[in-house]
Amino acid sequence: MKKSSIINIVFNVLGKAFGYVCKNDKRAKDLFFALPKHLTINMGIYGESTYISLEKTENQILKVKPTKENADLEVLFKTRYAARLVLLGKISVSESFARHDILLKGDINTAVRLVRIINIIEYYLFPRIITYKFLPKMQKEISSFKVYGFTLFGNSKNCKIDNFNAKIKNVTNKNAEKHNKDTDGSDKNLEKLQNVEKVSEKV
Amino acid sequence: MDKYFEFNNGTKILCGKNALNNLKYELDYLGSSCPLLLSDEGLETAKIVDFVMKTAKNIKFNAVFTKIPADSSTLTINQIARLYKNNKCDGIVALGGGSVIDTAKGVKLILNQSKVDIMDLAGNEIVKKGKFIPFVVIPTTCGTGSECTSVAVIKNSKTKTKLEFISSELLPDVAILDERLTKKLPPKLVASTGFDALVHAIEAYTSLQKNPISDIYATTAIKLIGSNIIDAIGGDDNARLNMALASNLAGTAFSSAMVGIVHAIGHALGAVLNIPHGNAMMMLLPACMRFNLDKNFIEYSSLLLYFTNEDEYISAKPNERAKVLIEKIEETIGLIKQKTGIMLSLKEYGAKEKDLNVVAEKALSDGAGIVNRKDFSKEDVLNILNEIF
Ligand SMILES: [Fe+2]
Repeated sequence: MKKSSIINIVFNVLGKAFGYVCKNDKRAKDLFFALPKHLTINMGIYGESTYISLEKTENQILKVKPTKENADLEVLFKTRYAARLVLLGKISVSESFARHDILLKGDINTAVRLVRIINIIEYYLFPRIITYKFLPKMQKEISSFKVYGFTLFGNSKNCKIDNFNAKIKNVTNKNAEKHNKDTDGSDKNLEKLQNVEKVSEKV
Repeated sequence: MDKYFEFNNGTKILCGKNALNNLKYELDYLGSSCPLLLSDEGLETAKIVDFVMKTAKNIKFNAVFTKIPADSSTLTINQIARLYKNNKCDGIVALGGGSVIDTAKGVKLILNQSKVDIMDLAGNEIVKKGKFIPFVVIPTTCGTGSECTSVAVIKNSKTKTKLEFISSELLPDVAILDERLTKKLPPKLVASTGFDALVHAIEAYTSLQKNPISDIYATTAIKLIGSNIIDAIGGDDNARLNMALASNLAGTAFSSAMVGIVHAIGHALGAVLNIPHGNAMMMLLPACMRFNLDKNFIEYSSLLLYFTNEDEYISAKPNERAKVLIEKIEETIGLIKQKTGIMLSLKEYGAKEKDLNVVAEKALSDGAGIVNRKDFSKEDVLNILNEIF
């Protein structure tokens, strides 16, 4: 099926900006490291071939050749109109989800982290006159021009995301483990922290 | 009307005295003559399973499974689906609260999509119309509203994380609300599940996807809860039935309009500190309403009429109605605390200050949060958590 060129362009810009924003914006970086270590993502429109495929490694997010194969996470807009609303900055991804415009295969929590990263990327890519309707005011940690520049001339393969914060967290956890074992011989508190993904009661 | 929305509620509701007696007729109507009955051990011990089997003694259940745990998993669902097939069942009857109903939804989905592993179906609206599996739900709490939502939350047995399944295929064909089934519900549970329903209705009424139809369900639910919750805790049968109905209506409202920040943080509190969902809802609601006040001012103001009555609404100054609503909800919570001794601070659940950061991070990745009309950051969540610490 023929792809809409404007949607294709915006998907591609988004895909390229992903790694650069995750590398340079602390909020996006934290969300990046909260995603599963290895993750494949397909994005597109229902009934059409995939527009963009992303592959997240430990410290990179790469735009790879679009594939039909099952990805860990598949995000599909139900219609082209639904995709245009989001990609041209008329509504947020959250609003699109609320309108039942998005089909999603895979873990919804992972998708929510992805949505929050896309919100941050959109904040850099779109002028405030567009984003004020659906995104709260944020501090820009890099200039939008740098993001545009990267999407035009950058190479996402060279964009390695520094794991500094995650390393600090690991050290803190190890210290906490040592502390718990030293003080009361149990590692209950650490266990509690590690079990954060335990199932909560239903909605 | 300039906004697009979707609304789907195909569940037939039987509500009132002796509603359960119609189970046989409904199963016959749906073409099920030898269904599978699903429930949990608590209801078996409380003799509720017996009561249902006696009331429906002319139904031949080909299999009965009452070992559904409080946090049911993908493995349990796969196992029950095999039980269904091995016993040649031709329909599902789910008797219980949120966990039993969500498990039954998972079983229905796996059978109706002819799959072996429910994991293949996780996601939002990805499954197609499948094989017809007659599905009747009999809720025994007055809070989750799960009997009329298109959502199921199930634990991934491998990763121990929760998975969400969203599809119209999860909607039951029939929901039966019978006052006899909530008679034995302890007052604390009536209070906490009732507050869960109240939060469903308030969040649906103020979410990004509120719409004229979900508004009708939400406001009717709030009216019923406001005028029945205290009597229901006191054990009044009619009030309990009204609460069960309110929970059903609120479930229908949020199934279309979705929930918000109270649920996002509540899910995280459940996962990190094991705080029961309804208790978390009660603790969080006033603080989250204060956070949302600027964005939801108009909606909160009009909800005062539904939660209280005409006199209270008229006597409050128009620009103070939203605040009065929050105060009235806090008064109700105070009364509930007095009557039931329910724990309403994080410290009482053993929370330490360092836990708050973990809760806040987890709340940010919860699906409920993205449809809250006011976006929130980790700091916002931490402020709310400190308020209820
Ligand atoms: Fe809930």
